[in-house]
Amino acid sequence: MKKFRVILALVLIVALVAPLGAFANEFKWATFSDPIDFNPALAKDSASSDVNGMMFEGLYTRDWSAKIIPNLASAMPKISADNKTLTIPLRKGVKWHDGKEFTSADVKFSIEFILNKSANSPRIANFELVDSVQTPDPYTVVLKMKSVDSAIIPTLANAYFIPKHIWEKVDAVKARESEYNKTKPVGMGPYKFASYNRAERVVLEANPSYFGQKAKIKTLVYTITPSQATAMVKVETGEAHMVQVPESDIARMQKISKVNTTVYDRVVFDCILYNIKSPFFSDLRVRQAISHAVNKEFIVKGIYKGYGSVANGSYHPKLAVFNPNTPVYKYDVAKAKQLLDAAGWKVGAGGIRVKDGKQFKFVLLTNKGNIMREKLIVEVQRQLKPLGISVEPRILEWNTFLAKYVDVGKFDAYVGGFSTGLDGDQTVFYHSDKAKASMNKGSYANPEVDKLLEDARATLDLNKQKQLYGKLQEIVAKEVPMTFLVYRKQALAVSKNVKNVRIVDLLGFNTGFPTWELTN
Amino acid sequence: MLKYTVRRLLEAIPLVFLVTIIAYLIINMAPGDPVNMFINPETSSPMDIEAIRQSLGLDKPLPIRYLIWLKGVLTGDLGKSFQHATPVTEMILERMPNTLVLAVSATILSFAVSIPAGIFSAIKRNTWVDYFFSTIAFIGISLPAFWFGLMLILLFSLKLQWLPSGDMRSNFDQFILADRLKHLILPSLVLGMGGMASQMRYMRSSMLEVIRQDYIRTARSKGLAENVVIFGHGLRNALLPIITLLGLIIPGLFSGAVITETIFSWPGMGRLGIEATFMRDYPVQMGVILMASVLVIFGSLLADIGYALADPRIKYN
Repeated sequence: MKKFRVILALVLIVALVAPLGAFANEFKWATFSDPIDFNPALAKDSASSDVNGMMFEGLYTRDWSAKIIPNLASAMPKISADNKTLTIPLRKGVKWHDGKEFTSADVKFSIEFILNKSANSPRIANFELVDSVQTPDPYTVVLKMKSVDSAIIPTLANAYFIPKHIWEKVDAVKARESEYNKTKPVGMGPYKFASYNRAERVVLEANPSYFGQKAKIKTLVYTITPSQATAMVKVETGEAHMVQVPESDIARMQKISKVNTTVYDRVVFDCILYNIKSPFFSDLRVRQAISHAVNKEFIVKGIYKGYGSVANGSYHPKLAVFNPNTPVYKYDVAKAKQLLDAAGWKVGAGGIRVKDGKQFKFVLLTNKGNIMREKLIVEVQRQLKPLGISVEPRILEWNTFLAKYVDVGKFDAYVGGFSTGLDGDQTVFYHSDKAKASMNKGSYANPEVDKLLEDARATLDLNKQKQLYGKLQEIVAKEVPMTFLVYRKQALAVSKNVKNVRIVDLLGFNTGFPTWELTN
Repeated sequence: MLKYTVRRLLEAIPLVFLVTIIAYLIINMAPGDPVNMFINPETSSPMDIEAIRQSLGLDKPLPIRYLIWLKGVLTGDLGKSFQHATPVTEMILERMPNTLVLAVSATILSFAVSIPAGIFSAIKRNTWVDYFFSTIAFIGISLPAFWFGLMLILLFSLKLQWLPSGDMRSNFDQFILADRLKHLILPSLVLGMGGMASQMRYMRSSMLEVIRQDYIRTARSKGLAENVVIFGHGLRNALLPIITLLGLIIPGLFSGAVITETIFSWPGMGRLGIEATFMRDYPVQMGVILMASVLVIFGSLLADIGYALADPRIKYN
């Protein structure tokens, strides 16, 4: 009995004294959800995309300036005179993780897999204008388009390509359940799959036969914790090297001495979206008045604690297609009052504006769970009060918010957040055809805008696109279907033990990850 | 005894059945739509949404869906996870051993502390020892597990850096006892805390009752050493009610595991259940509830039988 006690005590002491934390050659990324699909053509959650992004690559990729450059392809596509045929030469000698060569047959197979309705791929819309894929030889892909689609090249820069020799054995209907999607993915990127323990971790190993810059970090471990807060604790204790940090925690993480917390811009903006059919907001002058009356600097500083920047449009100023001449609504309460007066909204009893016997009182909605937006609607209420506009802020559960109000157009205005692509196409926000513009909830319609969007999509000339999208930005700024408030930021906390870390606005860190190194 | 066991087992069947009906109703009535976890409802067409609904079997009316689920269960099939497209049975079997390890070590830890503490409080009743343990017990009962767990992480992981902030192991390639124990300490302490406090109070009153009995007085008057009186004669009898308690703490261990596993990133059934709830993954939710209720019912049956075995005076008919 005594001996047993001594042994127990010894075990406990050893347990307590043994060093904490990671093994020397492992890089641990603390995450907070299980990846679901390791087939990048099927994946839609961000945990899967993070992991797949290290195992799979696109025909093209982006350099640090977000410019599209060749990757698995050896050059930019050769485009036919009618802009409808793209001939893409492939890099030779690229190997899948199982040793088989990557060829044009894989590209053809992948696109056809995505277009196969039975596979139920979330990428189907990206390729819907592809008419056929031809493979004249193993290193040439010819894409025939039904109509010209400028969005196809950015699409090819995403990693959606899967090995034909593996996936042709799998019935498309059963693709999600397949072991190649769950436990045995085969990619061609800088890392290959090693193991996955659900709710614990995913392990990737550096791919020694990768065609590009080989990764310096040999083992990449995604530690799966139950929440973002827990994931951050892992980095604070030194049990992990990297974690994503939301705006609310940036200040705290920046005080921790063993990590560098880098804040970077994202192509995400928060805005007030108007229902153009609402009796209040059908008048352009009212929308302009509110755009003048909202103090965006104050919101960025107060609500976002400075981790955001003032937004004047849906195109982030760091995007290539951004138009610097887009008109800006300066904070100007006097001007806002003038505009409201001109629109016929005169100050009435109790200081609230009235027009045709109707008081200016409206409900400003947002969805529950987004703390920033919950604070935003109250702040907008406070800022509009001196104007004689009475706002009732209302926070709704997500499903109710969509199904009962937003989707059926039963709202005056709501505060929402949207993310845009890195390229110019924003058909989803502004096109009057709802089938094309699923996010145009406020029924904004302008034939000129429709034409600009369609023309830009139908040209592969980047300068022409820039010009068309520039014009679009000017019109949108003038017509204010939304009052843009803030571009959001995010942060990445990385242990100081990691060298060569590079994190760039809008792009994040993936491009440079292979050069990262662990030191002790 | 056998008759009793069989009767209890038969009684358990309608009970489990009832639990599944209620659980199924509540899960399905809760706001939120599993379909929204698959797609962005802001960007998908109603046709896509309908197709997904059909593929998940959610287009049928609720009673039919329940019957389909029940039929599956009776043939040993708990269905497939909406989210992971993996059989629920496989997911639960993967997690259950982890939860059992945590629950067993929490139970051992809580008895290892509560029984001696209860005995001392009883022997030294109304002294500072007794008051000290009682105070600790009341604090233990009142501390919410989520807060206590976070405070332990703050102290032992962040400040002192002695113990890991979570996870079950840091070495996956081999089993290292020290590593596993280190990971077990904080979560089993949190999970065992609530039970520990109430067991201490039970043990105290049970011991108090026993040491007033005649046979204790007899033992003392025989001139036996106090240690022998307390531990040889008293403890055995005082421990009887604690066996029943074992049956009562099983539900607490399962509900506690939901919180503890989530705080300490423990890959067990509780965390599986909570993740499934957030993702509206009905088959996984139902699977976890079914397993938990079977274990709870079975556990309390075992405790009742154990009680009868330990105390020959008790007979079930």
